[in-house]
Amino acid sequence: MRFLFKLVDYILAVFMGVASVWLVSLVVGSGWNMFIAMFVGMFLGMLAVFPALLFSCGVTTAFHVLPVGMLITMFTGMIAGMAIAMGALSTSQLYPLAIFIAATVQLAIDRYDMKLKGEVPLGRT
Amino acid sequence: MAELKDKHWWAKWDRAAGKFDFMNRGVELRFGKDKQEWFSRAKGLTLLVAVGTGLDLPYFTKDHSLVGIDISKNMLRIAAKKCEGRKNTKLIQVDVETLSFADNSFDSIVTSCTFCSVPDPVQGLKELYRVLKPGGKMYMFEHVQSNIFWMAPMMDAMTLITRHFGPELNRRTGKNVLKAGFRLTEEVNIHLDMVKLFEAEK
Ligand SMILES: C[S@@+](CC[C@H](N)C(=O)[O-])C[C@H]1O[C@@H](n2cnc3c(N)ncnc32)[C@H](O)[C@@H]1O
Repeated sequence: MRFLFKLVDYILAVFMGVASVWLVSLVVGSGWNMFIAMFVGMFLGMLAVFPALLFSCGVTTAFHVLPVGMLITMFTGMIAGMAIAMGALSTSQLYPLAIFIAATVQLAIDRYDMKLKGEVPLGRT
Repeated sequence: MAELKDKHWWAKWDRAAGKFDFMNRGVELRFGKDKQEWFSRAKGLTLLVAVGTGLDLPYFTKDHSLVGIDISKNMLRIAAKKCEGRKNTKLIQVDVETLSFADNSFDSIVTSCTFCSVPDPVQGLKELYRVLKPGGKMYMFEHVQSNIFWMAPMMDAMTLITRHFGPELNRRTGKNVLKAGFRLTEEVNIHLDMVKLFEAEK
């Protein structure tokens, strides 16, 4: 069961990364001002968290999707926005990058969760 | 079931009742085992606060003496269906901020995603303190505001939206428990520092 839950987490993470690149590529074009492209990318990217939240409520929780999703979509959205504006990377090159970012962020959050899990020393509240 | 007529702020919970079980399936799948273990510590006559649609009922043995309360009639209606075969379970529509029970009535109290939703959590907790017997314990499964530097502002921002149709994401429930007079005896992180188990004593 734990393995299945992890699998779901990684699938959702990758979905959010890829969806944020896709959303950004629909709007941002080459030649855009870098700064504007970065912010628009970040904003559009983060929208990808909402469908992930909606589609996954039967198998996971908002607390598993939100922290990871916010980071993934913010980073990939920003990078996608800037890369497309500069013409530095094509969308097909951005997808594998998004998958890499998604998996790395999910892994980092999992490790952090393992560190935090368990009893909290009394008096810290 | 006693009726409450002079308030309407809980209409959002009445509206949420129909899709509540589906929306919360993931919570039960992921955290059900933790909840069951934690709630099994409750002994004697137990007040289950904000029972909702009764998703937590299976975590108690069938003969456990339970009083489940909630403000939403629609939630309670669904919970009532899950009470079949539970002779010692009673459901009551009441506001946790103004409980109708006598002082020192309950041996244990259980809350589950409750104090993200009660409008005045400290007042609600003070009422729970009042109705719990001296030495009695409260067992809580709650999501709270994160202290992670980039999550905390996100949770504040999201709460501006979520409070209109559901819970608030930025409650400091541990601190509220202390403010209400309880002694916090255990706190456990079960997902990051956002989903927690608390044990508190009167
Ligand atoms: C997030 S739901 C949790 C339901 C249930 N405990 C569960 O985990 O499935 C919050 C519940 O709190 C109830 N509620 C909110 N404010 C309340 C109050 N002041 N008194 C009693 N119940 C309240 C709502 O009606 C709703 O059922």
